[in-house]
Amino acid sequence: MKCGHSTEMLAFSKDETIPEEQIILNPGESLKPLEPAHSPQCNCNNKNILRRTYRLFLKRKEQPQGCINSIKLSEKVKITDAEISYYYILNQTKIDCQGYNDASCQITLDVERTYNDIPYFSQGNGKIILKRMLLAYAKYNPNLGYVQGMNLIAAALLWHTSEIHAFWLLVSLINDFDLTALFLPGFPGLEKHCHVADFMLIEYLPALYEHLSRHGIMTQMIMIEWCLTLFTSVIPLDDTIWFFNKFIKHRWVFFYKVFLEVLERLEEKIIRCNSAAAILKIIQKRRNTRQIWDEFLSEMEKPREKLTWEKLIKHAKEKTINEVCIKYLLGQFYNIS
Amino acid sequence: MEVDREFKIVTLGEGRVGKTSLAMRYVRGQFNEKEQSTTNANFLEKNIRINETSIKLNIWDTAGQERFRALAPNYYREAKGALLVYDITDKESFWKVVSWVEELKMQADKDISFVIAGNKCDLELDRQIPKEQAIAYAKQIGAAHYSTSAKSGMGVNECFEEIAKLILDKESRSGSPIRSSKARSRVIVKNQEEVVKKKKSGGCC
Repeated sequence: MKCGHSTEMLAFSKDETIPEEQIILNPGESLKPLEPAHSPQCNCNNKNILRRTYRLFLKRKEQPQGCINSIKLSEKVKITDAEISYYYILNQTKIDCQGYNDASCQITLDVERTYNDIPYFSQGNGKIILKRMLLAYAKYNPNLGYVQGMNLIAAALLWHTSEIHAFWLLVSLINDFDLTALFLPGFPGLEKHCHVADFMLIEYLPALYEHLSRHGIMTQMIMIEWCLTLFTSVIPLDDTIWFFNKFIKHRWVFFYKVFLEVLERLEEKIIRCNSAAAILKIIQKRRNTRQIWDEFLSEMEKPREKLTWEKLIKHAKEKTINEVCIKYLLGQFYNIS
Repeated sequence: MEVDREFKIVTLGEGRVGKTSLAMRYVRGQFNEKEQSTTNANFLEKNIRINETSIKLNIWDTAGQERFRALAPNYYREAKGALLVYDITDKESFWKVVSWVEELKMQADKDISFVIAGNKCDLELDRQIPKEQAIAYAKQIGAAHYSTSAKSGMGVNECFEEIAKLILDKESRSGSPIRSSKARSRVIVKNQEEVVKKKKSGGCC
């Protein structure tokens, strides 16, 4: 991961460059702790009796970067002093230009309504820290700035790890997992993923695909939310970690496994609906309370099954799908079209 | 309940002006001070009755962030009505409405009906857009203007029902088929044969 070069920030966008005097860098202060401080908020450590690997991990490092379940994620990014100071500098930097100001306005509005049923975000420090993270990202990657959906991903990462870790994980997810194309103006990546999703549905759930098409429901209507939020709008905060761990290892192939697993479990119910409204009522719920999350999960349960998100993710992982096809389609899409 | 007509309606406007809150207030009667931001378009439906015609409104509540504008055509395609929402305490959001109207006139269904809603009227003290200006603009483009507040519920039912009325009016004026008594009489004038057929099939003997 490239970082530590503050000059990167100078390149804002093609036509907007920031006058140098507006950038205030205080590298000397770069290792001061951030206020308010953030620590993982999840329940993972309480639920699990600390595993041996985690104990070793604790011994090796002075401070764990996140919860027991986020070890795999933690290995994805190495946090050195350079990363810490760069994040700090991003926080200190003041930028005044149209693109950044727009992003900043939207972030201010959105942090107010991100997971506001959870006290840490509605009353605690979560709101301030999430805002700090998103603003830092808008400065780090001005071409993307801020797009709705990032707030949910960032909040989910923040829930399980430390602030600096969550920030660099966000950067890594967007850079290394091709989320950039998803968030760019016009959503070029979304088109690509909808194309793959169509393919997957035709191949594995043809009856469902036909039913959806007949009622005028485009894959895009489902994919936009699931793609842009990486399922964080579907999976409750505590359980997002199961998805991230596998996603980082198996990349988009795993995304499609979860996509198919969820839709396969809902297939029967969806096919019984005979209006677009009824179908969308099942697929897109406004999941902002625990109760709605649980309802959604129970709708996916098979007879005599007690489903949890952890189990669902495991089932999804065991699915066999045509991985070569997904990789080919994702890699070649722009060449084909 | 038997449904005579089904209308597709979209809500459009800048982010956080209260599109989702208005739609949720109208359909579910709920208000959530901190409604989550919309990335996906939400789909809501409501059955209403206007002049003895029962109507099902299919409401597509779209995402407001500028970036998502590229996807809006998917939702306003074939829509019969649009609820354009602005926040009375935010000047910019009104200009967004103006630009939406321009876009819809070019891209959307020719017969699309507009209703403009000046939302957040409970914050009258912070008003930045004079009501007269908004009403004058609405008149100019042939739309209705409503002052609404998703928080108090003021004007919410009225603005959605106005859209339904406007669509019904437009349809009856253009003479496209509608299963209401008024429209049926129009058909009689146009096509005698059809009436004869209808009478035959409708007869009890």
